[in-house]
Amino acid sequence: MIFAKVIGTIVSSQKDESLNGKKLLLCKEVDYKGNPLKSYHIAVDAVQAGEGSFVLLSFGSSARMTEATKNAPIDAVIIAIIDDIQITQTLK
Amino acid sequence: MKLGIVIGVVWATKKVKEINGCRMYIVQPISTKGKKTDTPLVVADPQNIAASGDKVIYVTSSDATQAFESGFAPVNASIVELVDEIS
Amino acid sequence: MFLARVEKKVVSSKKHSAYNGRIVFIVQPILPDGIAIGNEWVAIDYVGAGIGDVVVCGGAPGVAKTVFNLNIAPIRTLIMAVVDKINYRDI
Repeated sequence: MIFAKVIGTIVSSQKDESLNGKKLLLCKEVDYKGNPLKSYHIAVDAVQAGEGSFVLLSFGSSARMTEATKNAPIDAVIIAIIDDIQITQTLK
Repeated sequence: MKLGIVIGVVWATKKVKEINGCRMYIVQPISTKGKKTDTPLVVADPQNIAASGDKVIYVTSSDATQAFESGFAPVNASIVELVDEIS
Repeated sequence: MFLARVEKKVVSSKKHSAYNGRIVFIVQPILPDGIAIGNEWVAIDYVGAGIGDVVVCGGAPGVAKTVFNLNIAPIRTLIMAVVDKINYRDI
């Protein structure tokens, strides 16, 4: 799972039937402080995230293990909207 | 299965219902000597066994979903054991 | 999943039975602004993409099995959607 920020939406009319009615969001990977990293991901929205949301992305075959994405041809899903991250320890 | 230490907590109220009630932590992978071995990652705690500062064992990839009782959860890493001591 | 542009089509006569009748494309991963990034990938199309289209690609173990209803599917990357438009604001 990684942290990401939703930066946009993908409009697509030609897609698998099981993806109909699901939002494809363009996300940019960030670190836990919210600083943007380099990679972009496209993920299916399972929690009604909006543009600018700080979210948690899940990948791979696990991404199909939600009600919304069961048996859909996807490999990335937004599983949570993050309110806050608390760092309690720092290691050397 | 890997060794790590819980260094942070992720607060999220809006989650998919498969992982409702499951806490999320930031875990730093460490060696047995306590040295960092990799970059920190987000890990789910399906059995609610860990807390901040604890040494834990976590599993990644598709095994992570097996840590949930339902075996059906969209996670990539799960805490499975709390480490008391390594002898 | 990632964004990519469909670059070339692959033609082959001898293939694994799971690939029979499927269209194989070479895709180039791109950034949202259209700049190519990284190496080319091979992807199977089943949504009707054409050369030059911007598409959404991806794949995970088991996805091709479900989509094509096969018992054995040695297929990793699929073209999952053809992109009409991207609305975004980079950070």
